[in-house]
Amino acid sequence: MKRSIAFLVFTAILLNFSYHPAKAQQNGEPLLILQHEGVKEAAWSPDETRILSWSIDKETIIVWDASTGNPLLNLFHAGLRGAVWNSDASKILSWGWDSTVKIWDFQTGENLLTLQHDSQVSKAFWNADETRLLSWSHLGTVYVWDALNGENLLELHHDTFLWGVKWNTDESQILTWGQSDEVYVWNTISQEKHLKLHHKAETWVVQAFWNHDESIILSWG
Amino acid sequence: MRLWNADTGAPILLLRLEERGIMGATWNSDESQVLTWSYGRATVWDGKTGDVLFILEHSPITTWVASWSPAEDRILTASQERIVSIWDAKTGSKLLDLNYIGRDEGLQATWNKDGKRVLGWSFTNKAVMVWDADNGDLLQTMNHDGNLWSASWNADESRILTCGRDGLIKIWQSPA
Repeated sequence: MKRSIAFLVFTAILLNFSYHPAKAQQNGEPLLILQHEGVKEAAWSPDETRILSWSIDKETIIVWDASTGNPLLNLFHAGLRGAVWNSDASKILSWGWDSTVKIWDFQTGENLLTLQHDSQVSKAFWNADETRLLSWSHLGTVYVWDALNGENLLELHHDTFLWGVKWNTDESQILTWGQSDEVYVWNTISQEKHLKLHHKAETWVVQAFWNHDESIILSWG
Repeated sequence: MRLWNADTGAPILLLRLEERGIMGATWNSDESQVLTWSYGRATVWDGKTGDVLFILEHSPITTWVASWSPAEDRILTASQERIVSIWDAKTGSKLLDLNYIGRDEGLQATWNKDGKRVLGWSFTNKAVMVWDADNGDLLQTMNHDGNLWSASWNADESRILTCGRDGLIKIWQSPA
């Protein structure tokens, strides 16, 4: 009995010691907690009045008031794999494994455009002035779209599984790399492969990008 | 790692690493140097000649991330042994070790905009930590209830947004 009391006291002291230092370093509670089951990513709107979160499990995008925590929009996109704001937070771009890219009106939640891919969409992004969209699929297709009327402007087929795509600044070229030791540079006017950068290695290319003035391409695998 | 002429496709430089693979690479702002990180080390290369300038050596396990400070006078590395290290970018000597608590299989670390703070968090942990980048003092620890997907400052660095695998998104006050 005595021993078990001593043990309890000892344990209590231990717990106390291990608890307090951790407590002392904490800086209180969060200002706001938002609950979105299966959330994968959350981002401020450019003016930081809103937060956009998206969930793979629930296939939903939620827009929150960043000061009150109230949900303002709840959008469903089947197979959702990503969602981002545009630069003035008037629109939301989302893409999914339902083979579509969607643009949404932030105010009303209206689905403004749905762009149909040939397969599951890996990623989509706007060009600088948000007049065009680039989207690509793991299976190798790259599309460029008119972001206002949804017209398909370009379609490229990388000949292996595709890991990544980059646009150059004036959108005259596209870099693609995938499950091979080659990086391709495409001319967006002719829609042909302009360059093949061959690593001559046993590994796949992991990443490729231009330098600032786009005179050099750096890649590794 | 290869550098190519973007007009002709001719190879310019081959940076040969003896390790198994590169986790990441970045130029500095004037592109005179390339920083790469890989298993157990980060390497600073001369961007023109391909010569190795410094090797920032951890123990031989993964370096998850490396980046120049905003002024490019220091480099931070985050390694699999729960340590964020800060190095002198001119000499390659280590200035500080910042110790992240708990398990970590994906320690991430970023500079704030003026290079005075470092934010650290891990994909396999709940803790987000903010350190003073000059003296290594721990300024703040935030415990998200579940493991993290991400942690980041807002634009003026007064808030930290954390997003967790528990389905919760939290906004925290960041130390002034």
